[in-house]
Amino acid sequence: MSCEKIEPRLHDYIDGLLAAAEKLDVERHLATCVNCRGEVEFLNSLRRQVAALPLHIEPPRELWPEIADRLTPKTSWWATAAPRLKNIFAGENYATGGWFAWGMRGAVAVAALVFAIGGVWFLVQTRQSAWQVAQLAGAPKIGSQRLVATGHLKVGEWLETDDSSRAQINVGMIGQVEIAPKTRIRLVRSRLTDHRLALARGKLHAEIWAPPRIFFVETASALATDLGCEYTLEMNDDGFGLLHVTRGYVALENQQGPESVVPAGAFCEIQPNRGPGTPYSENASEPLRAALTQFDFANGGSEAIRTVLAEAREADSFTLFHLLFRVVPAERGRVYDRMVEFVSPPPGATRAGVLQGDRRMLESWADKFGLGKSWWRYWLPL
Amino acid sequence: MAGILLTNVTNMQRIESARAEAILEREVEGGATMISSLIRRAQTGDRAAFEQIYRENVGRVYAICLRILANSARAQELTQDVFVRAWEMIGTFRGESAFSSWLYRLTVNVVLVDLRAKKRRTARVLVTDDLSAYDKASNPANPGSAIDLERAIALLPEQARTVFVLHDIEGYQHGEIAKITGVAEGTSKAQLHRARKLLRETLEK
Repeated sequence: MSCEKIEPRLHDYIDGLLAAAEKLDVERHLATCVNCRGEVEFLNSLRRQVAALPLHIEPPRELWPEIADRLTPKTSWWATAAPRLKNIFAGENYATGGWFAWGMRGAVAVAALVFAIGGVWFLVQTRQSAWQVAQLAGAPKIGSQRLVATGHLKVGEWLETDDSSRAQINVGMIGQVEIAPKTRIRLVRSRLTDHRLALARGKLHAEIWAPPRIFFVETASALATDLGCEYTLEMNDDGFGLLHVTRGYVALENQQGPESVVPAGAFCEIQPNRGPGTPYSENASEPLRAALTQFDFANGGSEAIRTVLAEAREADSFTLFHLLFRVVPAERGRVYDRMVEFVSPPPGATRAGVLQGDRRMLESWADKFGLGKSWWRYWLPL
Repeated sequence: MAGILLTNVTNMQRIESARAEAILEREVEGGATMISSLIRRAQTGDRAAFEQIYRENVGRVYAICLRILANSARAQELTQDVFVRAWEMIGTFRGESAFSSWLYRLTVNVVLVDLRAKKRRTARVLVTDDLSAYDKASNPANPGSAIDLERAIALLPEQARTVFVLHDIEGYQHGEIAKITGVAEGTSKAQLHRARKLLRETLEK
């Protein structure tokens, strides 16, 4: 057998993955081939060296204080409540058989029953595969059926409105979405942790009161993830769109670019093959918006960044924060310097550290902008 | 003088390593061991117990992060993330496996999630790292060659390095690697072979 055929098997031979017959083939070859013997000798020696590597490497600095700062206290309601409940059921501390003890036992049992029924009901409601839809105006359609007053949108079904119709969708139990005229939308998924619509075209206004990252809207050019908010999302047939957040935050992402986290009072443009652009304030100047569009979608580069920096005001500092790691490294310092004119660095954050992408410094910056931390690790572009 | 210092350092590391192994053995043996008592206490929110768990395991967690990421600063950050995540999830640990296996698997997951997230980002700085991070890690038998090997591993391409660390150092099988990294088993094998080939080229230069 030739060396080319044997070579890939040498690794399996060393790793003990070959069947007896194959092993014999390899050993026969090794007996006659110096090169392959050399390879096996190297692999064996590598194996010995790897086995001698230490499994533990101490970090160069103490990490515990920073970890300790980030540990959230554990909810110990059960630890506190359990002994009391046990006492109640065991009759300790109360006269056994007394009206108070029996009353407490009854109250606890009823509470547990209500809690269990409520839990089951919640699970059923949030897992239901159809969402309630109400007609607000005109004649919206679910599939080919006209919606009269109310109906249900099932997973996989399309809801479509014409020029004069509007509808409202109850998103399980977690929120409501109003569908504007000339909109086509599909229910993609309805699970406890994943409520998902696909917006093919048109406009929707979503108001969600669930925890972050439970409600999603897919579009041709980006995925909008609710981070606890109210927003309007509009897309055209060609994949161009605009997001306007009026409360909380929405994350926009696609495969092509970094995630944008859009806070209340901000817009974010979306373009096909480019995904979300850099978010900007409702009050951003027209030249700043135009320069951002150039930078995000037309390779505007340094020229566009110069305009953005010149036009930026304090309300645009979160835009600069997003730009910090979208610009080429040579321009990062200029963006940083402009940003600190509006927002002083948090304690402990240094220019060099931020420019090098020090995670803790950036996290404290994000806090300053009110951008929160939950999304941070998925966004941080370093 | 330098030789004596080096011997002391390597002895201390050997002691440290032996201590960790002893703890692991106690845990494997089950019973009322210290580590399981620490876990129980940490599950009820005892930070002091969790800090002890951290002290026992930080070296191993950091080593996994550092070897896969080849970036000391990032490895330190993710080591912190691992322990924060472990604190959040320790209530779900039911003792079906050794706690150390649970923690190291969590470490691998955190690192792989980070690598995947990194791939999604376009505007980023490539940090081919400070190889001095490995200066502390040495081979008791032959310190020089261990550092050479660590450096050579750090220079491997990301995918090949990940598979090499998981398979050859951490002892994962190709099937497990395929499952946790989302690649085919054949790809895992191919990356391992590539890694070993590249290591040979680097080490024999």
